[in-house]
Amino acid sequence: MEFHWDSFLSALIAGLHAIPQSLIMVIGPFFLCTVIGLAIVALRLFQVPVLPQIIQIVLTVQKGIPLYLFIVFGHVLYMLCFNPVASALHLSVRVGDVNIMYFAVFILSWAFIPMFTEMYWGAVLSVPKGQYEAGYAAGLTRWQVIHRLVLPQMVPAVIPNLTNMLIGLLKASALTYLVGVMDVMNSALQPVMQSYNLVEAYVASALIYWGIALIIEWCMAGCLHVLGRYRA
Amino acid sequence: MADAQVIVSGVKKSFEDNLVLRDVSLSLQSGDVVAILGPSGSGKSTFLRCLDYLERADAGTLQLGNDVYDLHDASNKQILEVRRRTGFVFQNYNLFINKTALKNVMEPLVCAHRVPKEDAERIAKEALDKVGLSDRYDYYPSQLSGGQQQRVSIARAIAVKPEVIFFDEPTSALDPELIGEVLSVMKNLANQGITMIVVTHEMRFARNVATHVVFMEGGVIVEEGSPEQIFEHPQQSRTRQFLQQIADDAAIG
Repeated sequence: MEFHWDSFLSALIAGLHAIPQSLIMVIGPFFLCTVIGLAIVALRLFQVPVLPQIIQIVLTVQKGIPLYLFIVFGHVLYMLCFNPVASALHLSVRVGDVNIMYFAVFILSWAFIPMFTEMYWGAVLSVPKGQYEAGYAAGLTRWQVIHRLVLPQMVPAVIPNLTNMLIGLLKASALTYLVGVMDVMNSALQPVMQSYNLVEAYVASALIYWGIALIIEWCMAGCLHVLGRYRA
Repeated sequence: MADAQVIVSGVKKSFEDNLVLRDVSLSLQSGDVVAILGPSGSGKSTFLRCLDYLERADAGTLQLGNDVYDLHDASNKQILEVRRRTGFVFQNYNLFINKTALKNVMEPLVCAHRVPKEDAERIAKEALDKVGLSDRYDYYPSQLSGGQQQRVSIARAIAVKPEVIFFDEPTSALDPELIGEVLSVMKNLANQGITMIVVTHEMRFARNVATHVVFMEGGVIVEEGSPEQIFEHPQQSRTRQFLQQIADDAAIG
C-alpha cells in the first residue's frame, strides 16, 4: 500500500485549520459540565431532599446511552422540535439560522454531565471530614469552609480525572461529523474525498488529536504541580 | 458556682439505640484545667464534641459567662457564636492542608473574627512563636512532623483568645517522642491561666497540670475532684480499678 504524502499534507493542513472548532467542543462542554456538575454536587452536599435522587436516576439512565446515539437522536429531536418551539416563543429564528456548533457543544455537554458530576463528587469525598470539622470549630461558616477549604483541596484531586475528561471530550468531538460539524476529523477528510486516500486523512487527524492531547496533559500536569504543591 | 466561667449541664447523647452520654454536668472556673479520663467508649470525646456542636446533643446546656446555649436546639447563629468563643484541638490535628502554618492560624482570625489581615498575621506569628514554631511559618502541614502539626493546631486555637479550649486527646496520634513537646506547650498555656478541658490518656499531665480531674465511664461521671483526690484517694472502685490498670500497663511498658 502506498502512502500519499501530498494527501497527508493536505489533510493535515485542513485539520490544523479546524483546531479552534474542536477546542470549542472541548472548552464549551467543560464549562457547562463544570457549572451543572458542581450544582448537582452542591445539592448532594447540602442534602437537599428529593431533587438529588431524581437527578441521580436521570444521570444513571444517561450514562448507559452511547455517545453516537446521543448525538444522532439528539440531532433528530433538535431538527424536529426547534422550529415549533421557536414559533411558540414568538421567535423569528429558525433551525437553519443557528450554527450547528451550538448544538454540538450542547449535546456533548449533556452527554458528559454524568461523568463530570461523579468526578467532582469523588473529589468532594476525597476531602477528609476533619477539614470540615476544623473549619466549623474555628468559627467559619459553611460557605467559608466550602470555598476556602473544600474547593481548593478538590482541585488536585480533580486534575488527573479532568485531564482524562478533556481528552475524552476531544475524542468525542470527532463524532460530531455526524451532524455536519467541521471539526478536525471532518476537515481533514474533505481534501481526500475525491482521491479516497482516507488512511492519510485519518493519520493526519490522529496526529493532530494526539498533539492536542499531549498539550492538555502537559498543561494539566503544570496545574497540578502548582495547585497541589501543599501535598506531600 | 460563683465566678464559674463555663457551666455544662445535663448533656445527653445517643447514637441510635446506644446511649453514650447520660446526663453529664461540669463546671469550670476561669483558669481551670480539667482533665477527663476514662476507658475507650466512655463518652469523653463525644462529650467534648457536643460542647462544640460537632455532635448534636439530645439535651443539655452550655453556659459561657452569662450566656446560655442549648446544646440540642441552637440556631446557626448561636452555634457560630460558641465556636468563635472557644477553641478546639483535635486528636488528628486537622490542620487546613492547603494552607501554611501561618495561614492556618490566620484563617479563623480573618474569616471568623474579621481581624484585618496585617493584624491577623502579627497575632498568628506571636501564637506560633509561643508554641516554638517561629521558623515554620511558611511550611505546609505535609512538611511538618506530627508534634509540630499539633502545636500549630494549638496556636490556631489560642490565637483567637478563646474563653475555653477543648482538647480531644491531643497526644494520642503522636509518636511517644513527640508527645513531650505538645504537653510542654499545654503546660505553658495552663500556667498562663488559659481555661482548658482536656480529654487525655496522659496520666502525668492530668496529675501535674490539671486543676480538676474527671473520671468518666459508661457515659457518666463516675468521680471527680482534685488530682490528689483522684490519684491518691479515689473513692469509687471503678476509678481505682482504672488507675490500677493504667499503672500496671505502665509497669509492663
